[in-house]
Amino acid sequence: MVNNVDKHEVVAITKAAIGQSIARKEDATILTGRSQYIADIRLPGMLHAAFLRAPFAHARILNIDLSAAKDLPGVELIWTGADAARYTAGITASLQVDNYCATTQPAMASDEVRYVGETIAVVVATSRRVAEDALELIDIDYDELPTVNSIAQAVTAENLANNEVANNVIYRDVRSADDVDPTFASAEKVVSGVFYNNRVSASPIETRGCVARHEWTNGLLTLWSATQMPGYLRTILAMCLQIPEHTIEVITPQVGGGFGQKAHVHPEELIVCLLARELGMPVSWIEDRQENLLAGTHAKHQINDMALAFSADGKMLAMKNHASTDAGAYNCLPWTASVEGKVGTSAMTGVYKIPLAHLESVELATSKCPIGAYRGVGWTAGQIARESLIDQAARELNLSPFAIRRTNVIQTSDFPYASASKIVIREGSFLETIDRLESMVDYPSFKARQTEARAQGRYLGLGISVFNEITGFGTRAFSQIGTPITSHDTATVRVDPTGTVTVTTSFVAAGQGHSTTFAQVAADALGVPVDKVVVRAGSTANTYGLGTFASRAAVIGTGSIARAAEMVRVKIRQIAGHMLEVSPLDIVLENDRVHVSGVPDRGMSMAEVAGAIYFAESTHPENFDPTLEATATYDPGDAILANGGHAAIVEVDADTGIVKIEKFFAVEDCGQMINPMIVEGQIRGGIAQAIGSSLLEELIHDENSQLMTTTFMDYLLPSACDVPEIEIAHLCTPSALVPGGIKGMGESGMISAPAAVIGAVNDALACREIFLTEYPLSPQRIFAALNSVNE
Amino acid sequence: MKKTAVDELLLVNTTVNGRAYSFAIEPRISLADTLRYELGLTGTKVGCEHGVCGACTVLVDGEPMRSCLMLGVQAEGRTIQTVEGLASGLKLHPLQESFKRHHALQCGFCSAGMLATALALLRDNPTPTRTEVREIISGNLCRCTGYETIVDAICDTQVAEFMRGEQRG
Amino acid sequence: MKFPAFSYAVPATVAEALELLAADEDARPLAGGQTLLPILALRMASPGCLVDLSPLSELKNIVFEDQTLKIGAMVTFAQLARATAHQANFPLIYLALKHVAHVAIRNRGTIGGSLAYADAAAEMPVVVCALNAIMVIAGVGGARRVAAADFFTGHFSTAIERRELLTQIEFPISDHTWAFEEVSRRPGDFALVMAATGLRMRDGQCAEARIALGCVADRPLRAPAAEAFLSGKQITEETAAEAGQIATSDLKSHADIHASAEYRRKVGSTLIKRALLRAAVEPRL
Repeated sequence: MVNNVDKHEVVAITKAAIGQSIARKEDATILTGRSQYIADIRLPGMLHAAFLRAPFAHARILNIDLSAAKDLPGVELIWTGADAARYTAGITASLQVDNYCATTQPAMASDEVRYVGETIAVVVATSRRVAEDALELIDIDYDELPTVNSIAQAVTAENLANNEVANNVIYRDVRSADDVDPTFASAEKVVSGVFYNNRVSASPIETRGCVARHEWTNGLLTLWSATQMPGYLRTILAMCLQIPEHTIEVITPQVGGGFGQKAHVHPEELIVCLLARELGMPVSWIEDRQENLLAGTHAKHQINDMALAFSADGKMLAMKNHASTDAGAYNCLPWTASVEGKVGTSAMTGVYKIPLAHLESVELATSKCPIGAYRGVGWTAGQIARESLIDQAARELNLSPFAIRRTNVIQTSDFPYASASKIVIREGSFLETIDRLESMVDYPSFKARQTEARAQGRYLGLGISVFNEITGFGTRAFSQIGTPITSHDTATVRVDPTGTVTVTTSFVAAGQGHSTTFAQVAADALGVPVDKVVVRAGSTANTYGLGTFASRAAVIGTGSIARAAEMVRVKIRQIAGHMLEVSPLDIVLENDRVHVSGVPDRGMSMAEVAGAIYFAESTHPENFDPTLEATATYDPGDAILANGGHAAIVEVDADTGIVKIEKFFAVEDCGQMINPMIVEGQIRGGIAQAIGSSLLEELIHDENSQLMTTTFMDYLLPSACDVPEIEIAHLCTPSALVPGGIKGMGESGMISAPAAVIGAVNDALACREIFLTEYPLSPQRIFAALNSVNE
Repeated sequence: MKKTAVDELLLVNTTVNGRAYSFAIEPRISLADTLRYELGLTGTKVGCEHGVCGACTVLVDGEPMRSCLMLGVQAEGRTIQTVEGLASGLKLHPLQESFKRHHALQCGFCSAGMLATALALLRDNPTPTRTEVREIISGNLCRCTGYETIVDAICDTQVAEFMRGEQRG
Repeated sequence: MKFPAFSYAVPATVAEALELLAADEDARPLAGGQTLLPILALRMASPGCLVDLSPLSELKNIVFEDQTLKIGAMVTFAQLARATAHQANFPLIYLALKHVAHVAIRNRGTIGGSLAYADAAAEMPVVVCALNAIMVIAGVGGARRVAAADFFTGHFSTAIERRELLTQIEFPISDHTWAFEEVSRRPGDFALVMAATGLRMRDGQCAEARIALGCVADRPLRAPAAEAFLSGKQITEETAAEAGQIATSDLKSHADIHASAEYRRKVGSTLIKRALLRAAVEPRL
């Protein structure tokens, strides 16, 4: 019987559909071009918005001349920041911890711009092309101000990126304060490095966008937004725009990829709602690619100054790390600038038994687009630093990269293990991961090939990276990483009168296949076939939730669906027991039937039971509540930890600096998989992004924080020729904390695979005494390293 | 010789997915926007509008082209196939079925362009190698799948069998 | 990222196209549009009128006559790649084509458009330089012929005057063996550096070498000193490397976000070496 109080409850679930690679229910609609994405929405009378964006990274706005633009035929309305400020103060973002520096980003800048791409004015016109024509006619005088272009410049505090942020310090955190200095002083081996991670963009192929409609007669505001968090967005719209929350509906249509970039509240969303209300007409804003690269949130820009102390036999003794985040001019909402360094520090010791750690992080304001969430938030940069140094130590101690990791990894017998970075690790298959990777790679034969290649003047390298990750982020997990957020996500499960099942979830999808995986979960929870379940998501008219991010959906979606389904099951078993004259506890639901346990013939179809409940009161026991739908929340009782590892084999062309990835291996343990095909899709996709971020992708700013990479000609996403075939192995250690033993997954590729790529390049070049710590590993960087060594 | 005035509408006659269309548009409207907004065929997606991502790829006279780098008026007299024209009736094209079977899509935003590029390749060569497929689709960016399952779907034997029947001379 | 407004003209003949260009200061020819239209989308240019050359079938011919391959300016990369009959006589064109963008771009992009645009990172400018091609440029007053060496006048700048059109490219046949080497960030991207080399060998020694480099300067370059150096020499690791050195030692290359000047110079030298070694083992016609 489900406990209505315990939101952490783990409901038992029998697995039939769960674990099957069922083809996705959503695919036929997408593949025929019939899915509706945000840019496909056309409403009667709809107008089109285009934003004027700051051409300077820091400047005072002296004067704005709109006259020529206003005269352009087809222009309906032009607003500047001052117009927007009449209705909203903008987006205030902070973290509820001591000494966190909140920032308020105006919905559009009015006096001062603080990054290139910040919105200054918006034109609403009969078409996007006319709106863009009008943007060219707006004349603005600026007084340029000094910019803060880097972490190094931010630290000096000579100039301020945002006058709300004293000394440019948004937040400074000491996560672990062990006294490590004596250990470092006496350690037999110390390795260290300063690792410069690149600023990247999540770059979903669909840019951001939203469409707002306001109906003055009843005050209803509808916002269609390509967002990962419609429920949260609705609440924030209510707060920031002073519009009663119940009059707002946020609808997420089909979303063309999110990866975290669409898990924010964006200033443009506020403006578009206000414009629709002001004009009494629907307004659409579809971001173009240049805007997305300029002003969609940026990500991953950290410097990690790390040292590791080892014993002579390769045992880790202590870690020191200082993470600095190039955070941009404002905190993003809701994650704030802490999404990089502070969050990253929580995972810094990873899967290793490192007795002592001193871990600090600082988030620094710079004259750039705010840093935000992108797959594997915060963890990528630290993982690169740690795994690179482990490899370096292995080389110097003459140990294999597998052996040194095996020596140090947390083992099952250590659980629960309280890590030096203050995560309690209760589950994981770290040793098995390393063993499996080693056999997949066939290490001895790789070593032989590497030696042979070197004799021919070729450079082969192997990189490995082992990780664990907190998934299914609920309240307890947020608390463990030091970001106090209470999560609240519900699901509604209804058994319809004809015995089919309608599930409503707050977890919207951006390609993850929830319509299929949640149907698998609900099908097993109620003992019906998958094709008798429909999953509805995408509107705040239904259930409430925080959003789809941080590998939450599989865990919390499953938990909430299982809990709601259990409430419905109780009713079904109750009436079936009454009708069959047995105890409800003897009733089972399976194969679309409700029958006496062990006696399949003694029962009836789900449709018959449902029909009785809805339409035949005479079948009901006394005092029977015939509600066949239930809404439940679920919040995991602890951090749910998935784990795995990656290995990459690369060849570096030392003459040109071009890296060719020959082979890629992934081991993933996400417990019980709901749909292995979808799990593997997430692994491959994450690794592709990892190859992009470690070899190709870089948002480059000049010395005035002007972004130089504003098109896909310069911001280089990996193509089909850049991503190799990926060999995947699954370890399936179920979690005791989630119904069905399911763990979250999806981010591992971007957490851990970059470290494997980088490790492989460094391994290839180690014979030339090269250890690269600035990323991505572009041909230019590799070439420069090889040539400075030469000379 | 004809020359329009700026923003003067131009009459265009074209065939899209086997259906004849006649409409008047401004010359400055891209073929992508023409298909999407003039003809309501929003299955063609726009990802970058400067010819790199390939999401907007459609078949023009059977050849894949970037519809963001063509003008709508250049559709005059052409035969265009978009993703909406791939299924026959209520039956998915075998290539669409294969994409579904192999999980060759996640968010689906690149799929229309990917299908167009793949279809043109398969009409010329029903059994391309995996390397050939990777080269051909390297102009279509996918941010979700890591490409491998897309290659699987294009190299599928059922697809090859069907395409052999469709092969062009 | 929508195109700015323009008027649009569809000439029926080259003569009409030239008239249209002559009549409007602000008119620009539109070939395949694979370079011009992104520029318009980014609103980096706003020509008042586009003269669409795509109906001009007279510019879409590929003819081999008088020992010369004559390629109309509106021939697309895809059309050229399909004209495999010329591959044996003009292997360099086909080697370079493999590096040109992606299938959808090749289906629309034209050889004339690429040359007239003169992006230093594009392949065709290097090819015409290596093959000593002649550009036929038409104007209202008639056509003129410009050697590849004189055609490129800078980054995005050529000998084509405002009222003129590039109509044809003529490649004289050569009996060299050829190789083409390119480094780009991703396959199909614009080049970081590229090199084309041709060798005519006699009795194991180089009788004539051609070396062209791309993306190391504001225009494609030939390397006459290195070509002369190879004359009479065997092509070995050493001579090929030295030719690369000679060709690049005085280069004043440019830097951008993808490659430093030093990268372009040194990798240019490497690519010349690699291309020479490959050309040396290519079977002769």
